Amino acid sequence: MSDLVKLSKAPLDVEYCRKLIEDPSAGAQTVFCGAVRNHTKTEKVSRLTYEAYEPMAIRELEFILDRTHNRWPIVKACVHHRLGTLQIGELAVVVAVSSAHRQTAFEACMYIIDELKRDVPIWKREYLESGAKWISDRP
Amino acid sequence: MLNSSLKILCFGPARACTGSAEINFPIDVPCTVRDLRSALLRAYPALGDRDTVRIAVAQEYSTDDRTIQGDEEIAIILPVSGG
Repeated sequence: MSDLVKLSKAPLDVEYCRKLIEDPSAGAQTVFCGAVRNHTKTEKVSRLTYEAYEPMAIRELEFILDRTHNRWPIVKACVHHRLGTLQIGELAVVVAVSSAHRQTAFEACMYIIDELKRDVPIWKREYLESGAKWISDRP
Repeated sequence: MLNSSLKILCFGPARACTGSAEINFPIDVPCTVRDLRSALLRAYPALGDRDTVRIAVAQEYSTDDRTIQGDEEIAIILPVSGG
């Protein structure tokens, strides 16, 4: 696949993602950015690391985009996820979607990030004052 | 061909549970995904339970009834936390 799906050890580029989904037929572009937060419910977070089962993560992301195209009349969709060590405020994920009208782009963008969080084999390790731990808390 | 162990990839929290990024797990193959998961949970209780452990076969989530022949890429997928 093209650059529309990417796992990156370098900082993510929001404008690059937006340009990938630009299209003359698309009047709407939605961009979701997930950033590293400085706290959990109970503790301060100093940094995160993300690790992926990379070939499977790419496949799952491609499946998600395929399902999104089947379900909504979007024009283009892009998802980039960061790997490695991230500091507070850095971007962990960027999802960008274009479509003729805004409702489609909003819905598809939310679907992509929700599916990513459920199925794509990427894990976050939080570095807290009390130590580091893997986050693996699907109910 | 009958084998008695499987190479299994462990990422992130699964690696923390098994102690290694790749384990040679003793099990007779062919076996089903269900058999493998049950055996893994007995060997590594820290993995959780049947609802928290998904098994990837050839880089795809698999159904419980799928047969593992022994030459596929197998991975333990604990609940993911990307995004």
